[in-house]
Amino acid sequence: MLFNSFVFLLAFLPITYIVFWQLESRVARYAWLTAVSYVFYGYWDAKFCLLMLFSTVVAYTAGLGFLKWPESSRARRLCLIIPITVDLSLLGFFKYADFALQSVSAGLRAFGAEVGFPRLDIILPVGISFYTFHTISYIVDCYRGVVRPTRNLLEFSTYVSLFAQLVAGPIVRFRQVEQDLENLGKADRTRWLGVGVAYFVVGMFEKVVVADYLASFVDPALSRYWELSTTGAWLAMLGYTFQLYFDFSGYSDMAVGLGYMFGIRLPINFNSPYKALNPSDFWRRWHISLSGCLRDYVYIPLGGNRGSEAQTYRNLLLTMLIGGLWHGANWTFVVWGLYHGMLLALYRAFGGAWDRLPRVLQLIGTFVLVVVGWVMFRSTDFTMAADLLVRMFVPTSGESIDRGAALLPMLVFAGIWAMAGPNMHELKDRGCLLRHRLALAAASGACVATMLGAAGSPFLYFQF
Amino acid sequence: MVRTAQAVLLIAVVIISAELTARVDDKVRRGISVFSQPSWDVTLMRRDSTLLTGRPHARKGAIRLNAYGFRGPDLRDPLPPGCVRIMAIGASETFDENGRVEDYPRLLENQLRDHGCFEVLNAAIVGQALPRLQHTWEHHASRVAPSIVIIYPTPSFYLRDVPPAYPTDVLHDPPTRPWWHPRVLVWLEESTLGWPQVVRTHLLRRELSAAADTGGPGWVYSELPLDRLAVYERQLDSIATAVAQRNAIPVLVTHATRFDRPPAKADLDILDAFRHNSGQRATRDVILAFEDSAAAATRRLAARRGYPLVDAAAKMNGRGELFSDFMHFTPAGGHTMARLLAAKVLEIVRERSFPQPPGVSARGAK
Repeated sequence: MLFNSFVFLLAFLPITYIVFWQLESRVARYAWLTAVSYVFYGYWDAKFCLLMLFSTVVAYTAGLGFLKWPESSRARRLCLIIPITVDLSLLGFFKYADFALQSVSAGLRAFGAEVGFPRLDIILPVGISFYTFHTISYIVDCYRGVVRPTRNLLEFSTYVSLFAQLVAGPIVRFRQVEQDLENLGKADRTRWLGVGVAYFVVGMFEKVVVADYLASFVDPALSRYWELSTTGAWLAMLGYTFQLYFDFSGYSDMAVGLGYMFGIRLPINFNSPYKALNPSDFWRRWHISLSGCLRDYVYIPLGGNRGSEAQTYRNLLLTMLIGGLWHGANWTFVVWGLYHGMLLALYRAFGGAWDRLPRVLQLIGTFVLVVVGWVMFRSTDFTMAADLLVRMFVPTSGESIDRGAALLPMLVFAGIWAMAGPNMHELKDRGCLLRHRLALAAASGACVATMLGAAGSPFLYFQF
Repeated sequence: MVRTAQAVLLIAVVIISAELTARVDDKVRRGISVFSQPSWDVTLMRRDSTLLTGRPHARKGAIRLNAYGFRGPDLRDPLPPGCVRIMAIGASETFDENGRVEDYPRLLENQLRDHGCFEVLNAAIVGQALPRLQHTWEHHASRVAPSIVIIYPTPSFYLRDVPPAYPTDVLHDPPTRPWWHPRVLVWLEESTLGWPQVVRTHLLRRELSAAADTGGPGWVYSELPLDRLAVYERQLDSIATAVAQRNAIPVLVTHATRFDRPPAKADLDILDAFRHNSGQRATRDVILAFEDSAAAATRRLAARRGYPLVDAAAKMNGRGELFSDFMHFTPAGGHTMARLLAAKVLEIVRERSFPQPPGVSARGAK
């Protein structure tokens, strides 16, 4: 079920909301949220609910283990290693098995061996990367003593399966919502309703009006990338750059808004990333919940910046490589991750000189580097990535984007909003005046019309 | 009082914004004037006496028609030496109305890119059976002198109330609503998107049942209508002959659907949607039997006349992942179809040589 579908807006959300606030006890609210979240998830494919349930039970049991053996380091290590192995095995099987087998067979063929593995064509359960990170972060935080494991299975399953953030994040850590979950029975319906609705409407506008509009130009253009001129290639990639941001940021804002509506404050996921002045700044602003997880659960355990300079660079590259691989089972994602790892390493080495550049150059430079990264991210293979990069940086004649004149106004609007305008978290603090309500009403109308006029398109990040 | 006024104001803003967005969206994405009412039929199709063609340079979303009203880029004119021009004709499966997915003729051109110079034209017309396609071929599409013509017929058209016949009536654009009619309401009427499957299935079955009641006894085909099958075979032979008469090689393609034989339980709702789309007269068994018989007739005709055949039905039937509904392709389906066709086209090219078609610009787009 998509947030931008009428079945969600007209049936699922109203029913969930009304019943939730009719319930008075904390446990009843946990049970209700868990039940509807499984319905939400099962709308795609009910059998994968079992997988999520299994993952939930494994992590919950590990938490009970930490409570039972607070002093035994051996038992605690087992409670850490076994469930994480189970989680990663599931993720590995569903997401990476085909990729690994095909990569091995391609590698063997390169050495002349006639070995081929059949494609398994395993269906990737929606959101598995996200809820696996939820459970792993919980287990690690319990092990480290950062959070106290919960004994309440319903509370834990609400955390893992909460429909607002289930399929595309933000990646919420238990400690970030623990307090709100504990107080769910005493939550005040009206306290955050206005903020929640505002987040949701703005997020939907970002997704439905801005991102999908850009997609209608970008997708056809990139499907025939070999015909694009230099201008066409740049327009397509700039369009994709803003499409990806408004798509994912829009989804995250809708998720945060839904959280507020149910008394659960989810963390922000984007803080105007295209305003970043350097690669490090970019990763503090883009997909914040993922970069936080990579920092705390990969980079720091690898040694972070505590070792030699060479070790720090290695850790940066490895962390970003894993980050790239998390996004998808394709070598283009691996290279995209390595590229960003390299940018972070270069910034660490030469950051002083970079920081002395005029601010506007830092902004544009960072933006261009990010766009180049998106070429690899968007490309289906290296041929496409290389061809697009050549077209962007070597003057090439060819086709521009079809109906480019209709794309430009939205590109300018999206660019100004993303690079100079306020994001939702900044807007939140400006109060709720009549003009804000009118703007939200206008945005709602625009979303309804666009949804009616277009086929519902899935959020880009669902595929991860 | 103030709260009520505010609420009314907010609702009015939602409605006005929705209507404005709909009109601006239509203008910038589809080129439809703000002060008119859109009709996709009128936007994409041109009616000229008895002739139905794509409207030259028409656009709908990502769909772009060229100067000849074919879907896709403009023709290479003159065709470079050594190039082979291929044309695909058929109905919505070939045209592919879903603007986000590339049509299989375009994918075929991509597939052939590494094997030489090929130009593939998509001359399909949505919702049209073989006689109309033949009429358009004879009076319009054949002007561009393709060397190979892929014919992908839709057998289920032959199960409708009246069998397809050669066009004789003068065509007129369908009437449109006045410009001020709320466009959002039109979109709302056209949209069943997002309704839960159970609701859609219920509405569909109710309609099927009502149609059977209205039609009376004997209206629903409970057995394979052999007379309709004969019409299909005759008309397929006729269009293939018309293609061959213009010195093009007709490639016959058997029609593929998502259904196994017998159909999987999970596909029964979609099979009912197929019945609904095909005129509501055929039962589940009959519609599948008709598809199979039409495929057999296509194979028979190809063998009898020596036409190249692509047996898409044999290769694609029952593979649900290749179809977005009962018979239209997903991207994977489009790629599969393109691969099958590419193999046959390369086989034909290896076996025969093609004369260079003359330049077409002198005749121009009508």
